[in-house]
Amino acid sequence: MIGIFSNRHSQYEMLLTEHVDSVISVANDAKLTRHLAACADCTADLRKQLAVRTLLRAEPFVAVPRSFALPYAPRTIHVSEPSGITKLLRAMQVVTAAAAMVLVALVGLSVLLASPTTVTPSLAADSLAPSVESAASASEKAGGTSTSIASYPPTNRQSLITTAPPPNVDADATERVDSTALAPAPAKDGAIIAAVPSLPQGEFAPKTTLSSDSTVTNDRSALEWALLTASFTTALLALAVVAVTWRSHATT
Amino acid sequence: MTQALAGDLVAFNAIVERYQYLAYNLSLRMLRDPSLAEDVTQEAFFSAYRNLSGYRGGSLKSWLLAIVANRSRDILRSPAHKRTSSLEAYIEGGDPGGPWHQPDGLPEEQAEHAETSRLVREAIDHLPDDQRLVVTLVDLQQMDYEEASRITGASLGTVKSRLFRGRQRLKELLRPVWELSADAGRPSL
Repeated sequence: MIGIFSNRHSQYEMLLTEHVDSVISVANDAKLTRHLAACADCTADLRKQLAVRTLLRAEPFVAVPRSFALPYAPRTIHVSEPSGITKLLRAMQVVTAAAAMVLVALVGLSVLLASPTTVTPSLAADSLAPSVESAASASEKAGGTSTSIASYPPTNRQSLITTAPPPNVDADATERVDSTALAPAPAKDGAIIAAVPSLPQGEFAPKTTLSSDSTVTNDRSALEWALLTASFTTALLALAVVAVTWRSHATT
Repeated sequence: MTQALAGDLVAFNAIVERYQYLAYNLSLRMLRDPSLAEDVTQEAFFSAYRNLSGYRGGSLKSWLLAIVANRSRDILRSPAHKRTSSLEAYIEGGDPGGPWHQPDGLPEEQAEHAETSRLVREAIDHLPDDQRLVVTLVDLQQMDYEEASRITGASLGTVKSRLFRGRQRLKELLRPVWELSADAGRPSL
């Protein structure tokens, strides 16, 4: 019954309620009266709503079991406006959060845009060994002391690998490059041995490789500068927030 | 009232005395437990005093009853709350009238009145909480829609809708009352 009523007469629900409580407007009352004249369901419903209301209004109130007057004055909660320092702190917190978000975004962007490493992964020590040994033999031919690469410490051996050209370079060119790189000095005793320790450690960094596609540059890109600026700003703001917080705690 | 808002306890207690009747009856209708209703009413007045600075003008009665209504709803929604049958215990136990006093009159009239009142209370208890709150405010405490809207925090349209649905539900739930009226020779609906 209720469902049927809701579907067919939902537009008159409010009007019926307003009519029962005598708060309906004149225009709506006229509209409802016209509808009631043609709708037996709504007329019956109105009668029952009036009866329910009358019944409820006749319900007695319950006497209070005791007085609810407060025996003592409880502590009041005073809600005051935030102080200037609190407002400043909130603003700085918001700015710090924004700067942190920018920083995170820049870091993410820099990771995405980072150039690939210029060291060829397939470059192995074994493939390089003949060229180094040929350089050593060239040095020996020139009268120097021959020392096998196998006798170098692992770190220095890696350094040699790094300074080698890509594998597709022909053997003569490799020899030229290696002899240029490893034995630039006149072939005297221990020329290679002297050259090897002088090589910098950790030569896998792209800036010192000899491959043609490496980006040997010390200039910082715009992204790096933005990253640095954002980091610096965030750090400063975080410091400022800490300082203001500490000061506000000290004053209170 | 100005003194009460300034924190004068005597002035505030005068307001308490004025509205405690409505506040207690509202919480009793909502919670259906006299002792719980008592606690909620007392808590609400304490809370009102503590938060006097939060009163932003308007009807003080609405503001106080809104605190009572909110507190009652919080309790009804709390998982720990279980529907007690205190009212039924009152009705079925040694105190047939419960907290509701009986009107004077002939014993037969009193008995019929008590029965009707019991059926009405039971019917109201079966309403959903939101509808029961609006029906209590508008039909039992005879407030207007605006006041009910302020107390419940619902829009006027929502108040009207809840009232309509509450009355529709009561119409069905009060069928025994109509039958009782028919048995007594009064016109049935």
